[in-house]
Amino acid sequence: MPDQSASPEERVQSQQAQKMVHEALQKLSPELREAVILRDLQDMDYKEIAVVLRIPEGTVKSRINRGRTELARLLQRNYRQVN
Amino acid sequence: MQDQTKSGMQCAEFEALLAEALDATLPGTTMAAFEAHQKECEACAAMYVQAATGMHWLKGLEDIEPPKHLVHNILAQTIGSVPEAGTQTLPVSASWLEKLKARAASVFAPVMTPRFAMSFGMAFFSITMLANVAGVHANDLRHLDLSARGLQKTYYSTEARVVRYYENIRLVYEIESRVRDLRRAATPEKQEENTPKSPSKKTGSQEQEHKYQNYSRDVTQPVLASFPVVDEQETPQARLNRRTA
Repeated sequence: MPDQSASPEERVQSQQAQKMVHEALQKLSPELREAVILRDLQDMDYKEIAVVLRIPEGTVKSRINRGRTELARLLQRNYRQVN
Repeated sequence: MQDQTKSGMQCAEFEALLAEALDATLPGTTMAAFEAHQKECEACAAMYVQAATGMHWLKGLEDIEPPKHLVHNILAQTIGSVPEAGTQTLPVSASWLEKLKARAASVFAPVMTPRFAMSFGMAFFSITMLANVAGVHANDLRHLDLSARGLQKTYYSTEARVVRYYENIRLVYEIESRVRDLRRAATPEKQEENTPKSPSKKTGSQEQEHKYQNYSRDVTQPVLASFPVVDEQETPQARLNRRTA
């Protein structure tokens, strides 16, 4: 739910930022995307993700790290293009 | 990434601990070594910042309510069957028939799929076609008596039928054989005249071999042909008289 205490301008900015994050997520490879979504959006622990994806726990951590890093790079690139 | 050892920790080790460090779940000594390596290694520090930024953005996303029928649609498109919501939690006041239906539905859920129905239909079609080719009909099966007494009766009647058939065949053979003997006894000279004279030069072994080779033409051999035997010596006038008689 959007924060009702925020000003309209802040709400619009938040919506735009979320849209950018969603677009950046779509650009990630499926392996990295599913790992970061399960971890950061679904709040699953590493063992659960390893069971769900049927990969070792170390691979789960590696994919999460690479997914977050790649996402940050994409967002920074978009931010530079916008400004 | 360069695999350098700084502050007692390699870059690969730093990367492996990065996720837990961002979750703040590393033990004290390991966290201290991690931070020390981060301060000394620029590449690892940059990676830490980017991973932290990505996590921050992801955590800042609002929770999206999944569509109402998301699970239903996923199950329908993957396994083809959808467990009904009512079958999972039935009210206590449900009748025993509904409970039975719910239990049966949960048990047969993997079977009640279009793919299984297709396979079952093809198998039924194949069996029906084979039964038709083999001459087995449903009406015959309906009158089949599978009791012990019925099976015994069927066995004895079949056995009697086989014995009767064998006896009939034997009688026919015997009659044919007698008729042939009588005919040969009635016309012995004609047969001798018709048979070409064998050369007298043949030895005994050659004659025996000839006999074995033509054993199928032996007159004592039973003949199953059903054509009427026509006397070759019968004249056209005699044949006409026989027909008009």
